[in-house]
Amino acid sequence: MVVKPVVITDYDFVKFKELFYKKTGIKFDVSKRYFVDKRLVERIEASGCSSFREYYNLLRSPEGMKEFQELINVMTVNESYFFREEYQFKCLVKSALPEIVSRKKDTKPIRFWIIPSAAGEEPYSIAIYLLEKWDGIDKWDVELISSDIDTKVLDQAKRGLYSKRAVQYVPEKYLRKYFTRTADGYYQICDDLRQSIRFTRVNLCDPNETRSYRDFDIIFCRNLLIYFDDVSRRLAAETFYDALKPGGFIFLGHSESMSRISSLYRIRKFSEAIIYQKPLEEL
Amino acid sequence: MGLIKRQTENKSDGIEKRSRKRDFAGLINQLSSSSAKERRWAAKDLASYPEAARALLDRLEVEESASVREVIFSSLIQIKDDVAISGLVDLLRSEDVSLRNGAVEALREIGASVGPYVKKMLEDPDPDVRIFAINVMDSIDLPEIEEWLLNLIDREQNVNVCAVALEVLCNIGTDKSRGSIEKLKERFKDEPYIQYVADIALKNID
Repeated sequence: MVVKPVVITDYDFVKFKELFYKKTGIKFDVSKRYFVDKRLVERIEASGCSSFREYYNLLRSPEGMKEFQELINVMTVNESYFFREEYQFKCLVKSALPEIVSRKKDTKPIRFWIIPSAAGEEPYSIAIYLLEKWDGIDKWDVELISSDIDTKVLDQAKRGLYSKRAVQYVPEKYLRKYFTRTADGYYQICDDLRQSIRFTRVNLCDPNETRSYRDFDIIFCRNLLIYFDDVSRRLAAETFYDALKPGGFIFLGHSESMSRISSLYRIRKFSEAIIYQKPLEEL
Repeated sequence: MGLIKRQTENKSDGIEKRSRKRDFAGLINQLSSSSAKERRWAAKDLASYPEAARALLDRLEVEESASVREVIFSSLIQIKDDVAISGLVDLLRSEDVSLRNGAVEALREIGASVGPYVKKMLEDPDPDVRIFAINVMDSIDLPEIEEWLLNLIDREQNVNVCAVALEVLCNIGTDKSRGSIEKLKERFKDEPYIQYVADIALKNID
């Protein structure tokens, strides 16, 4: 029997991108057509469907939830590396954290939300930076929560196993202190750090999923909003507003700007970086 | 002190999800709560109720908290039905600058479906409203907009309205705009800004 190859028509592409956007806030334009088609065909075949139509109906059905997560896992971009945009970590320890600590009237932990987690490069980098560069770590408890929509990368993050490329900017002394070289040339992050980060699966565009993410002092959301359209960015900014404590800070990627998304945040220009702050008084 | 260790592995990741939908009547009541936080959450949840558009628009008129207003605009953007779009278009006439700017931004984000509504605003007797309508058109991707703006500048007497329309035509004008732009230059030959923008628009068409 000859199996007909799965073909994604222009109409299929439009239907798919509408559904994916509705569920994740991520929009694919025509320039991503090749990327999308290739992965879509892979998933259609892997799921045992014989056509886009059959697969589309599966995705919209309650039975298709698991498959939708698989689809999210292949459609999201997760490339990152340790100590990316390190100047922001300097800003964190030299400017943002001292301000937060000086205002603190309780001894509760300082809470971080790092989204997306990707395969853990970002949250582990922050953990290492805090341990190595922030004096306050001896006086304060720090709680690190890191989230992603992609369950596959969350599993990788929990495992904490990295290629040489991912750790290329990690100073040698930290590599020796926090990683173990495996026999096949990978770098395994130490158990102590693995246990210090809580990894959670969350869809930033679903208010029911983000509602309980509250009382954060610091949010890192770098290089995620660039994949969203204007409306999804706006909703994400509102989600972060509710998730932050008054006076809390948010760090975005170097090409992202909160002032183009929302007027709710104060722009804070520190010598190390520009970051955004939820005002102390409710707006 | 230091980094807090995870208590347990995979225990629903430790963060609860809320699966129960709050009821419509309760949310509408909470829109008038004395707590801005409660009003903000009510406005956010009402985005999934298209029938909430009228109540959200009414709240917008009296709401003083900027963060609640922003969420109401976002919910109206998501609802984007006739009631929501018409209500946002009406806000272009508001004396409250932040409401008006919020409405312009929201209509831009809704995109092409607001086209027919803002087209009507080009007939508004108030030149400021006509300018806001053009501001909205500046960001929506609709092929008819060029023609609507050409019809406008062919008869528009207000120099500021013409200037704003020309600014948009600088970006979207095609060869069919040439005649109307040249006539406008002639009509406002003593207005240096019109001459300046019209020349840019014509140059861009070339």
